[in-house]
Order: sequence, then structure tokens, then C-alpha cells
Amino acid sequence: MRAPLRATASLCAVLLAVTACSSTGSRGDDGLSVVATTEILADLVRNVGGERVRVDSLVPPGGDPHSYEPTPADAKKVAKADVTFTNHLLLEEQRLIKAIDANAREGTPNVSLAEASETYGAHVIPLVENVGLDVLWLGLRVRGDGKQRGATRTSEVRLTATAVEGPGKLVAYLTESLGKPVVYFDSGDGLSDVDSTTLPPAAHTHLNWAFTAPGTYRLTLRAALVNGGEEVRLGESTFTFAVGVDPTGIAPTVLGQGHTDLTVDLDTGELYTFNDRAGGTTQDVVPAAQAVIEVPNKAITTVPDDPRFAFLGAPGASVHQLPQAVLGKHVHGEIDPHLWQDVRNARAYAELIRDTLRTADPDGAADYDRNARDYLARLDELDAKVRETVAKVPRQRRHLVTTHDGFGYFASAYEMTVAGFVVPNPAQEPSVEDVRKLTETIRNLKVPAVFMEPNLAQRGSVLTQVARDQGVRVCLLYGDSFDERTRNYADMMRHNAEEIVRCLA
Amino acid sequence: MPRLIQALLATAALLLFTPAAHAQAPVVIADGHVDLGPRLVDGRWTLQIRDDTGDGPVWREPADVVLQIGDAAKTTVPNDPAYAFLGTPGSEVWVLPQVQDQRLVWPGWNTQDPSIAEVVGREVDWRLHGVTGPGRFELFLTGNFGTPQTIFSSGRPYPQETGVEAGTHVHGNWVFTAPGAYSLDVEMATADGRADRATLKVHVGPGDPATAFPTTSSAPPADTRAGPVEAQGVPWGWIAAGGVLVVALVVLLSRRARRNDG
Repeated sequence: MRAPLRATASLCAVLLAVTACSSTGSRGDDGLSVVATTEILADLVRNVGGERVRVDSLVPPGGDPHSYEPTPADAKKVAKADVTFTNHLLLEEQRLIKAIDANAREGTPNVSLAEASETYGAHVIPLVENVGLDVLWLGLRVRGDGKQRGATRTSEVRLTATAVEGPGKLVAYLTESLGKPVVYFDSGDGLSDVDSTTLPPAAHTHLNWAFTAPGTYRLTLRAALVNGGEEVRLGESTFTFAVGVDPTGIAPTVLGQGHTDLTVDLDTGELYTFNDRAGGTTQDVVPAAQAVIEVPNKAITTVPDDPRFAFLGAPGASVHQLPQAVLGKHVHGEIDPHLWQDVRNARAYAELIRDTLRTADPDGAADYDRNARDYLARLDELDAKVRETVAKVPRQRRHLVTTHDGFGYFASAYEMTVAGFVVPNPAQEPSVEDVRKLTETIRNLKVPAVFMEPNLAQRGSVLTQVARDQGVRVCLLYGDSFDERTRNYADMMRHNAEEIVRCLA
Repeated sequence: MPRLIQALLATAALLLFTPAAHAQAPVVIADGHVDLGPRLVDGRWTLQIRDDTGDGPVWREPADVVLQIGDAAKTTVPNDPAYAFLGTPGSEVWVLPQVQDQRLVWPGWNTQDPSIAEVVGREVDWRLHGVTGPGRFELFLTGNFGTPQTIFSSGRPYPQETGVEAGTHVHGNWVFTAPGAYSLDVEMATADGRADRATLKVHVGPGDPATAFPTTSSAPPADTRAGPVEAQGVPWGWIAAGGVLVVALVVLLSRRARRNDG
């Protein structure tokens, strides 16, 4: 089932509740009873509900929603609740969601905030399944018909790598349908006539781009149009790659997302980058000299123990690689559940909470409206404050390395990058490869600090160890829950922004 | 005056060559680039085939197109456990690769038509409801180091579903394990209920692709579609080969329904 369908279902539940609850008024003497799964959600409800509601969080202070399992007492709380709020299936442990769905009284609103808040303007990020695929998709293309240069449908375009500068080897290769690799360009054995490929007019193809050491690379490609035996020389351009290092300042345009082709234009004779921006329906040209292609550390992969791939290095060696196919980077239909790390999303949550409470307790509508208005104004200030604080960190130092993949929304909203994490979900165990990738990420980017979440201290041992080995600081960011020092959402977000400045600026 | 004639001629040519919504006979595409993808046509969410094999892109009704897979696509299953899902090593398969081979048609799928930008949401659901044909069908991607990633397989229960992100264009490996006519019952839909379902016709190997499929499909009245195709004769050979299959296909095509909320 798709998220928006569930969202619709949640809204329907809210609407149903209008008739179910308005006449009877299930609100007891001690207020409307609300159960939320996490402390963060409970805090938002408290701010909107004020004195008319009594809020319980099922995950205890400092608990991890990804792993918390409900107790019989939780089931009882849910059964007594007039309203229940969850975040999203992929945040809370599945048994927790089930306990709520099974025990919530019929007719009481049971709202999954993450999905339903999209209709309130929440910004939603698809869930990344394979971070190695969540990178630029880089190919080769031929544009234009080249008629004035004598091109026909039988012409070919020859593309030759004439120079590669960089700290390691650059290999562009295609793995064919049935698993056989074909090398297009390989700087490892010197560049010669074999480091060339021919493309048909209007060609568009995708390759693997592998780099054997981190650093900045410059690849010069020369194009020629081949009409029968005759060769017409076209242009030459140098393309720049930032491999494992921060691309800021290397060139004005960083190409790090969506789809880019190194493109031969048969009409102008030029070579340039031709880009599909993520989600867009239009393409744009960025000249080679104006662009830097980002090959981030999440593109680190391991050379397989297969002699056909020996051109990349020894089995087990680490390479940065932009893959030839990126389908499967997202989990179909699923979203990253940590929406509240963007304060504007918390605003959407608050509006949805307001409307839900109004429906469950129409007598309190005026109170909820007033509380929400005040709280939304405070959230707007908070959003501005977080933005302004994070902006103090120079852009090339805005890299987050964390325990789990819980800060995608923070990074997206406040212009940072998620450079790495120990494991995507804290319920997973890191592999040897995960640890190596983390180590290389810290080293390549020279990050001064990594960030641990207080509720994940146990999981944090890997991060702490790697940080100690690399001689970098371990700082603290709140992710999915509070601790004894920070007891509300606004404090948590303020702390996160200030901690980032303290540790990275 | 000559200019006027030129203009008139150009208009006439345009009228002649602008592809009609429903051509007389199916267009057989054996090489070049095509994509399956959704568009809004008169405001309706419609699954069509973008044909880039001419001078400019043309969107066609799936019923009007047969993708022809020639013998240049014929290869054998490698002796590699990762590809055991295609059959026993050494057995014949027809493969349209993920990357363009000039000799073959290169089908992909895209969600880039500007008409859908406002309604598409985050991703399009792409479903396979069934495959009829003489062999098996597999659609997969080849990963970095040759690890195949299956998108659709006629060996799995239907319906099968994958997601196509908004504003993207993807190619995969299309594999058929026997020559003959295949019909792929496909659907593309949005999360909020826009959907269209169509039959993608693929013909593998020798034989006349244009006559391998029943030609009366969805929309227009029969008289506009009779003529050339019928005149070429009923494809008895393929009907004999396909047997019940063709009947199943007719049923399938005739029940092709279009749901639309837009």
C-alpha cells in the first residue's frame, strides 16, 4: 500500500471521528487522553493540546523507537486513549504499531503523522535502500544531428580519453547484460588508442566510473565524427571529479544528484555536461569547466574476487564507483520516517495534530487553535534560528557522520550533507565493510567530529572507536528521542544546531 | 506564390505524416530507442510508447506497436550461478541489453513527459499483470559487478510491482527464452489513483511480427483497421504454434480497460 493511500485512510479516520465523538464527548474529567509512540510526538501534542489533554508516550525517555517493544501496560494505555498518534511504520518497531492498531478503540482517531502530514505541506524524502546507488547517475550521450558536418544515421562518434590527472586510476567500464565487463577508458595502463569508444548518433549509454584513490581527477575527452572512412575532428573538454573529497569551490556547479551525461554535441562540436535535475522534466547544459562531478564516500565499494574485474585492483580493495544503474536506490513506496528533523515538517505535524484534536474534542477547538497558532509561530522562529546557526559552518565543512541514517531531513533542510553513518537503521549490526567505509569517509573528508545519539550509546561504540582511531571528536545530536537534559522538541533542535557549529565550524 | 505552395505542401505533408492516433497496421520497431511511459492525453492519464526511431519523438498507442527482437539478440545463458534464473547454462535466450546495441530495439521506461509533471507525485507504480508467450520473460538490471536485479519475471506470481521515480528514464535487460509472440499486460499508475493498463507486444525471432498478433484492439471501429493487415492473411502458422495462447490473447486485449480519474 502506498503512503498517500494510508494518509487518506488516516484522514478518513479523523473525519469518521467527527460523528463518532462529537456527541458523546469521550473526554474525561482529567482531559482528553492521548497516546503517542515517542516523546517527540508527545511533546508536539502537549504544545498543541495544552491543558485540555493528557499525553503519554509509549517509548520511555531515552528509549529507541526502532527497537522498543510494547508491554501489556502499553496496550492498556492505548485501549483507554481517545486519540493515538504514531509516526510511521519504519520508525517504530513493528510490534509497537501493531499494539496500537490492535488496541485503539474503534472510532477513536489513530493518526500516522509522517504520511498524513504530507497533505499539510510536509516535505517527504523517499527511503534510501542502497546508499551506494544514491549518487549521480553518469553516462555518455551524443546530441544534435550534425547534418552540417555530414553526419548521417550510419555515422559514428569516437570518444577518446587523452589525459587523466588524479591520485589514482580512473576506469570507465560497462558490465554487459550477462555479467561481462567491457572497459571503455582505463588510465591505469597509460592512455592510448584503446582508451576510446565509438557511439552512434543520438547515443545514450551508462557506465561504471571507478576511481582507485580519493582526490580530485581531471579527465580529458576528445570527440571525432566518423563518416565512413573520413574523420571530422570535434571538440575536446576536461571534466573534473571530486572523489571522496568535498566538491565545494572546485567549480561553480556541483553535479551530485540526478542524472548527468558527458555529452558530445554534433551541432556545436562541443563536449559538455547535460543534466536532468532530480524530479524534473527539463535538461540543462553545464560547460565542462563550470562543473564538478561529485563521487561521494557513499560510493565506496569493494573490488570483487572475480578475475574479470582485476582491472580495478586486487580483490577486497576499496574503490569509489558511480554505478551504471541506480534503480533500486529507494524502497518502492516507502519514506524516510525522521521528518521532524526539518522544523517545517514539525510545523505540518502540529497542524495535523491540531485538526485531529479539534475533531476528537470539538469543545476545545478554540483552545487548540490558539495553542497551535502560538506554537507554530515559535516553530517558525526555531526554523529560522536553526538555519541561521548552521549557516555559521563553512559549506565545505558541513558533513554529518552519525550513528544511524536519521538526519536526512536535517541535512536537506539546513544545507548539509549526510557523509556517512554506521548503519542505516540502528537495529542493524555493522559489517566489517560498513566500518571500513565509515573510517575512509572520516579520513577522506577530514571531518573534525562525528555525532552520536544519546539513546544509541550502545550502537555508538563502533562510532566512538572509529573516531578515536581517526583522532576526531565525538559530539552529540538528538535523533529519535530526548534524554534527561533535553526534554522538549525545540530544545532538541536548538541543541543540534549549536552542537553542529561547536563541533564543525 | 511558390512560398504559398510550399506552405500548403508542408501542411499536407504534416497531415499525412503526423502519426494518427491509431495507425492502420501496427508499427514494427526493430531498432532504435523507445520508452514505455505515462502521459496526459486530453487530460487523461495514458500509457503510451515514445518512439524515437524517426526524426523526432512520436508517442504511439501500445496497441499500434510491435517490438521486434531479431536474431542479433540471440545468445546463450552464461555458466554463472548469478544467471541461473535465465535457464541452464548454454541454453538459448534473446536479450535486449540495458545499454544500446545499434542492431536492436532499445526499450526503456520513462516518467519524463512534461504533461505528467504536476500529477505524478513522487513515483509511478509500474505493474505487470501477466505475460503470454511461448517462453519465459525476465526484465532485470545489471549492477556494478554483474549482479542481476530482477524487476519482473514471468516465473513469479502476478501482479508484480516496481516503482519508477518521477522525472526519470531507465533501461533494463529484456530477456525472452523462446521465439514467438509475447504480450505483456502492463499498467502504470499514480498513488492517488490515476492508472492505465495496456498490452505491450513483443515479437521474438523469425516470422512476420505484424501478423503475429490479433490486430483488432481497443478503440477505433473495425473498418478503419481492416485492409492491409487482413489482406496479408491470417497468421495460421503462429496461431498453430500459439494454440490456445492466441485465444487467451484476444480475451486479454478485448478486456483491456482504461481507468481514469483525471
